[in-house]
Formats: sequence, structure tokens, C-alpha cells
Amino acid sequence: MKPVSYDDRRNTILVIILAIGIIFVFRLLFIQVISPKWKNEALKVSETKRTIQPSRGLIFDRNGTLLALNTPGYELWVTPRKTNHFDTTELANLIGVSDSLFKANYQKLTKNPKTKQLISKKVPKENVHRLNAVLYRLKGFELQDNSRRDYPLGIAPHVLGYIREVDKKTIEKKPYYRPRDLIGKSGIEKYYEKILRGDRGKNQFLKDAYGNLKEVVSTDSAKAGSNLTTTLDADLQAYSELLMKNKIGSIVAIEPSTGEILTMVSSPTFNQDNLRSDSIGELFQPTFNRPLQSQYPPGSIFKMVQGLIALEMGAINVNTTIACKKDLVGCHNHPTARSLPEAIKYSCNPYFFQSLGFMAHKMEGNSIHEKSEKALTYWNKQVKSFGLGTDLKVDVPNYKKGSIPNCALYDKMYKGMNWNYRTCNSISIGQGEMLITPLQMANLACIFGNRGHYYYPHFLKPTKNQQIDSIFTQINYTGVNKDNFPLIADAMQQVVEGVGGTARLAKIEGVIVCGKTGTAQNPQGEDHSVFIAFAPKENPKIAISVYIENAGFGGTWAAPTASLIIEKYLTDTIKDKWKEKRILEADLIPKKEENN
Amino acid sequence: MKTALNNIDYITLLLCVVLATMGVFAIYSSSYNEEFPSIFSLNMSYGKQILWGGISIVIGAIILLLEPDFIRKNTIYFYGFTIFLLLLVLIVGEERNGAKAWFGVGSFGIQPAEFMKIAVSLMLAKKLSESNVSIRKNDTQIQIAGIIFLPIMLILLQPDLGTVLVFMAFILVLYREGLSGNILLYGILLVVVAISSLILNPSKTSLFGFEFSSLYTLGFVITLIAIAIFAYINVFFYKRYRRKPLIKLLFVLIISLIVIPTSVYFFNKIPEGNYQRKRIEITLGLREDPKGIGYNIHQALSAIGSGEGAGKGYMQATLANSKFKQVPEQSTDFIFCTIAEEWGFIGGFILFSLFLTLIIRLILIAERQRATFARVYIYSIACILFLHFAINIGMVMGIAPIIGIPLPFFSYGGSSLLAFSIMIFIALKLDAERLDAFR
Repeated sequence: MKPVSYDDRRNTILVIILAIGIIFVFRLLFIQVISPKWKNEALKVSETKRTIQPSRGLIFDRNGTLLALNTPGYELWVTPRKTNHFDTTELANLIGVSDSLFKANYQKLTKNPKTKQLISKKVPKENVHRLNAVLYRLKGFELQDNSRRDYPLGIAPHVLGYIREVDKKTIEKKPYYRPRDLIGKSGIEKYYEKILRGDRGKNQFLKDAYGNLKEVVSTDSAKAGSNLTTTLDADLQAYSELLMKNKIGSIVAIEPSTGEILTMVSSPTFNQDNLRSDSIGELFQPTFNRPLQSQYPPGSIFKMVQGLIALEMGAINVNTTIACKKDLVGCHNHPTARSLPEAIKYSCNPYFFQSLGFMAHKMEGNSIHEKSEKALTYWNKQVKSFGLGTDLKVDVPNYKKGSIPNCALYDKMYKGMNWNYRTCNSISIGQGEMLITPLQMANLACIFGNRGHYYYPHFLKPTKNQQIDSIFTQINYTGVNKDNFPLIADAMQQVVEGVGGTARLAKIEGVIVCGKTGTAQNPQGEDHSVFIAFAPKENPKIAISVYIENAGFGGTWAAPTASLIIEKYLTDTIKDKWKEKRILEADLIPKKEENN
Repeated sequence: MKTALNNIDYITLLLCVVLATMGVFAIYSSSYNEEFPSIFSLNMSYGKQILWGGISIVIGAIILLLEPDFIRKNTIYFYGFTIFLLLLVLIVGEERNGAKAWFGVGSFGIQPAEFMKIAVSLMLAKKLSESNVSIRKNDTQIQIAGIIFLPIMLILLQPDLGTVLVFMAFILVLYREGLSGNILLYGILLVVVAISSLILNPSKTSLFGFEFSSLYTLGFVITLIAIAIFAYINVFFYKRYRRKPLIKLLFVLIISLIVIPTSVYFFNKIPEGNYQRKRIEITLGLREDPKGIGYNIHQALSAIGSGEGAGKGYMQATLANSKFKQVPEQSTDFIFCTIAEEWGFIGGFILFSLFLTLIIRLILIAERQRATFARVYIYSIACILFLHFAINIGMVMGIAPIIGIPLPFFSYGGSSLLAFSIMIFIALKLDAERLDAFR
């Protein structure tokens, strides 16, 4: 048999080998150079990051008193599956619980061995060091920072607000936030969230196959939140809250020359941790922020505005005398008001009722309806120029604007019937369809104190390292001639000091207080007690509105309360101890059971 | 003695020494232990690998000093003894990674299957070098099958699938020695068609708004190729030569078209979620399971991919490194990950080049042999090295199934290094003696 040579098959085999070699080279080139996929997978596999939470900015009052701070705290987490044998007694001791309780808790957690779970919400501060020292051998355990937000004075919860963990909806809308992040939920904490929170940083680690962190790759340090200095006066706020104990209502005090809000009380108050009030307060929506969200009829404090508008229009002049016709509207017994200031001093209802009629008659028109319409349109515009029923741009979220009646409202109410000033003249004394907020009332006091202008009220104080929005430094004028304001200030002084004035309880020794009482009718129960004031008369330092629900006549409760706050702010002492004691002890909370 | 040393093919020896040295450094990086920082520390894998390298050189020197013809004369005893060891290991062997394949001596272990490759190579060489033997003859074929399949059966009993797969290397050798090329061709064709059917099965082709299974496309493409070849034969072949290739072509076409649906049918018979099915799906790229079965390959590919073009630098790996241990078996079967991550594409390319050079060099050496015994033997070990290389690298790069076999000279493992060294030294010895035939 002739031997056959297969030498040429060498080439086939070499081709196969080279083909595999070329496939391998291209595969390697694809994995390492061309496709980014495995490079990215490698990062996922080998690196892990830990966020560094920025510390939240502190909040101070205008004098540097701390209102909100962060208390460091730690919590312990465990992934049961990752743990190895550990000494339960030692660990229980370190987190400050009994051995048996710890074992029981831990037993429960082992039901979900793969998930990271919270085992101690609050590790005692004194043990954190020791715990850290043993943590390296306690596999599966992790100590996490959970600084708490504390409000040491416990005042002004409605203004400061509170923080909570973000909810899912917020995370969807604002991509910055991650689950378990904290976010301001109301008040300043919410409005200035971006400034207060800072920016988180992160540490990038290399980890091994078991998830242990081995090396830091990069550090991106967190940017701490900025501190805020507010315009609040902590002492005054605390004192005001004390005075409002056992009363439902609100107090707003503003520095007229700047629009800085010194005090804003909503009573009852609440605790920021659990959003609850004391047992009595619970019945009256404690988290409801009355100064900004409650819309009340202002009552007689509106009469100065009505008078000024009538004066501006020429419907009356300063010395117009109008008889106190009690058949028009109820009034109390007082001498006939022979001028606008006297009408204000006596708070004469018929005087202002009729001034609205004069305004309508001053207008040109074919019918009384048409004239009334024109007058109301003018009136509405003027009222709003006092900031009433308008957006005062305050730097706290969720405020109401109130509402000032206009023609459209009455057209709708009377369904095309010919309404006229007589059908709506209670608006001239701050009743009826008019609704404004206590903040707007305090702002009104500012306007009288400033003799005709105001700044948007705000909580952020300009300091060396803190700028405020230019909107808060702009002057807003009313639609009324400035020359007419001094006589209002005089009249308001008379309300407090004059014979027959309605707010004589607001008088303070050595300080000229200008004020005006109001008694807002309340169809649901007792009238609301209202008072606005500013003091001292020249270059006022404080303007205030006090609104106490269901407390009756304004001069009885709201006026003395306001005067105590003014006195405290201006002189830092209270001379009339009896007045203070009377307010402190008063319980003006409506007793619902008695009504039934 | 003098002539033996003079005639050694130093290029082959050098390539092996370079590969083994690179291997030791890769092992050092992938299993470095701070407590034993010395590369010679016998407590650690790197020290042991160096020791095994030393042992290999000593044994290699002994092989070179053997009497001419000693190996050829004693082949039958060596084969018999290794078969005996394979039987023995099934009885008294130590089980590691699910295979009863080891004789344990302290922390050192010996795997007889590693030496079986040499024994079969020698035995095959001996058989084919006998006079009056032709691979086209049936009785020769039966004898050869016996030589190869006896150890395969014993190794399957361990079971050690990887080593069995390496025995496929002998198909290449037999092909070189005259086995019909059709077997090789049909085998490759069958595997390619079956694999492409499985890969294309879940996908759809859309054409002119019609959507249909990509399997139809595959069948269509195969038919097109067949028509093209048909046309080629008709144009370029003389009429009287056309008959045979046309019948072959038709046969191949029909078989291919049958394989497409049947492979898919049988694959779908395996229940969804079955372990083996998942493994196949992962290898075919149809599934990723980075936390489960696909963990190894996912980690390996991540490590390789992160090396990029130039690598992270020696001992600087962040996945396939002793510190991070992200790649399982990173100093043995997955040692290539460490190379690829630390030296990047450049390192991988150099490694491939070294291996291919070694394999091709061995084939060229084989081809220059005058004695059939030497040629068959050297061919055998070249093909064994090639299969080890192809399966191992294919596995870590995700284009071959996960089958645990070492990368020759590189992977940590004493008996593997020793076996490959003996293989090479025998080849060098046979090559060095090739001129003796003329004296």
C-alpha cells in the first residue's frame, strides 16, 4: 500500500488555531476597549458610595438666640445574615437595653435575614465611642448618623415649621432627595429648605466580594447648610405665647420701619415632634397657622381705612359730623361724633355706614345701583392698597390672602337684582363679606405707624452674611394721601388715652400707644376680640395685631394683651402686674359642653 | 548528552519559561497575603508554584538525560500505569470541587488525569508509528478509539468534564494523520448551526412590516449559501467532477435544515429555570444572572473589561486582586482576569501571542520530524495546549461554557504545571533526537 502524505493538512490546522486566536483578540478588544458595558459593570461590582449628609443650617432669632439646632445621634442597623457570632450582652449594654429585650428584638429581625434593619433608634451618646471601637468585629452591624432637629425653646412652631423624612411624591418631583432624607415640611424650614439643607457629599469606596469597604477612591465633601438669622424676638415670642395660653387666636407684631416680623403666635401651639398640642388645644386644630391661614372679618379696626377712603374721595371731610342713627345699625352709647377722629375714637358704627352712602352719592350714575357699583369698585381698589385681601409675600409657605368684596361678588349674591350700598354697608365697619388675615391686620397697624406706607412683612433679617430678597426692602404706598394719616394716628391715640376711648386698658405709663379695638361679630358664638396698635406714636418700634377668638369686646381682652407685649418689647418690664396677671389667668377657650 | 543539549529547541523552552514566570507573578498578585510577603513563601500559592517549577525543571533534565528510545520503549508501561492510577483515584482519591480526581499529599495534590494526556499522546504516537497501520483501516480505528476512550470513560466517572473536553484535541491529530476531514467539517458545521439556532430562536426578524422568527432567516441564509456553492460548482467544475460535491452539498443542506428545528425543540424540552439550561443560556448570551449561576462569568468579564487598553498596573487590580477577591478562582482557572485587568488589552494580546507562538512552534517542530512517533506525539501536545488555551480563555471571556480547566503554565496548580512541563520536555527530547536517526 502506497503511503499517502497528508502534509498539506498542517495548513488547515494552523488556520483553525489562528482563527481562534483572531476571534479571541477581537473579543478581548470588544470587552476591554470598544464596549463600555463591562467597564461600567466593574464599577458597579467593585465600587460603592456612602453619602455624607450635610448638617442642616441653624436658625437664630434677631438677637442670636438659637431657635433650631441639630442634636447628634446615632442609630444601629443590622443585616442578620451578614453577622457572625457576637456577644449579645455586650451589644445590649452598649445600646442601652436589657439583654432579654435585645434578644427578643433581634429574633424578630432575623425573619428577614437579608434586609438591613434598624435595631436601635437611639444609641446612648456616651456609648457611641465604645460601640465604634467594637464595630469592626461585629460584622453586619452598621452605625448610622441620625442627627435630630431640636427646637430648644419650644416656641413659634408655626413659624419655624418642622422637618420630616421625604415622601415618595416629593422624591419623584425633586430628584435631589433620596428616601430617608429629611425635608422641611412647613414654616421657615420649608420656605428656606434649599438654604438650610446644604448639599450632600459622598465617599466612593472600593469593596471586596463580601461587601467590606477597603479603600477610599474619592471624596466629595458635603456642603453644610447655611445658618439663618430670623427677625423673631425669642423673648417677645415666648412672652406672647405665654399670654395666649388658654386662648384661641393669634398675635402678630411687626417692626414698622422694616417690615420685620418680631412675633407671630398662633394659639394653641403644638409640638414639632408629634404635631400635637396639650389636651385642650387638641380640640382647636393646633397646627393650623392662624395668623396666616385664618380669615376673619376685621371688625372696627377697619374703620380708619373706611374713613381715609371716604376722605380721599371727598365724600366727607375731617370735620364732617354724622349722627349716630342707631336705627341703621347698632351702636353703643357715646356722644355724637363731630369729626372723623371722634368717630374713630367712639368707634361709631352709623358714622361709617353713612360714609359709604356718601361715597355712592358722590359718584355719577343713572341709578343708585350704578353709583354704588362705581363706589364699590373705587373702594375695593383702595382697600387693597392697604394690603388687605392681597398677597403680602411673607416668606413662610401656605398663607391665605383673604378676600375683599367687589361688584362681581354682589352680582352673584343677588343674582342680577339691583343691589346698592345699603345692601352691603356692613363692609364699611369691617363686617359682612370682608375677610382678612391677622398678618394683614398687623400690617395695617404698620401703615398707620408709618403714616401711609408699609414693607412686605418677612422673617429673614439682613445681616453681614445674609442678604434678603429686594422685594422686602421696597416701600409700598397706599392709595390714600399721606397727609391724612397723622390725624388717624391722633385719633388712635385718643382711642387709648381719651375720655370715652374704647381701648383704655391698652394704656402704658410713659409710652404713647395708638390703637383701635374691634369686636368682630361671629354668628357661630361669642364675638372675636380684636385690637391693632403701634407704639410709640412717633417713630414706632412695634406694630401689633391681636385677635382672640370668642373673647368678646376688643377693649377687654385683645387691647390689654397687646399693651403687655408692647410694654415688654419697649421697656422690657411690666409695671402693671395686675393687668398681666389678669391676662395670664384668663381662660377664654369656648366651653363647647356648656353650649349644648 | 552533549548532542541532546545542543539540539534542544531553545525557543520552545524559553516560551514555556516566560509563560511560567509570568504565571508566578500573576499568582502573586492575585493571592498576595500581607503575612507572607515573600514571593518564595511556601505557605502561599506563589511560593508553591515556584517550588513546582523547580521540580519540573529537575524532572525535565532527567527526561533529557534518558537513553534514546527509552520513552518509546516504555510507552506501553507508562500508559498502563496511568490507567491504573485513574482506577485507583476513583477508590482512594480525594474529592475536590465535586470531582474525585486527586491524590492528596498534605497540602500538595496530584491529579492523575493530567498525566493521562501525556500517556494517551505517547500511546497514540506509538500506535500510529507501528508498521502496517493506516488510520483509514477499520481495525486501526478501533484500536485508536480504545486508546482514547478508555481513559475518557474513567475520567467521566470522577467526573471531570473539562479534562474530557481536552481529549477532543486528538481529533485534530488524527485529522493530520489522515482521518477523513469530513468528520471535522460536519462536526463544526453541526455545532455552528445548532448554536446559531438557539441564539436566534428568541429573536424576530421584521421585513416590510412582517415579523417572523429569525430561525426562518437562518434557514434562508443557509439555503442561499448552498445555492451559491451550487452555482460555483456548476461554473468552475468539469461536468464529470460535479456529481460527488453536489450530493455532499445537498446532504449538508438537508442536515442543516433539520438541525435548526430539532436543536430548538430539544432545548425547549429542558424545563425553564433548569440549572443546565440556565448555564447554556448564559454562555449563549441569552441570559444574565450576575447574582446566581452567572456570578462567576459576570465578575470575570467585569474584571477583564475594567482593564481597558493599558490596564491598571501590576498589583493594582481592583477586582481580580487578593485584596478584593471579586473573581472566584482568580489564581487558578480565572488567572487570565488578573492579567487582563492589570495589563489591559496590551497584556492580553501579548499573552495570546505567546501561546499561539508556542503552539505554532510546536506544530512546526512536529512537521520537521522524520519519525512518525515524534510527529504524532508533538502534534498531540500542541493540540492539547491549544484546547486548554481555547477553552480556558473562551470561558473567561464568556464565549465558551464555564468549564474548569487550567491555563497551561499560568494557572496555579502543581500537578498541572508538572504535567505540562513533562509534556514539553518529552517533546524537546524527541525533537533533539531527530538527527540521531541518521547516525
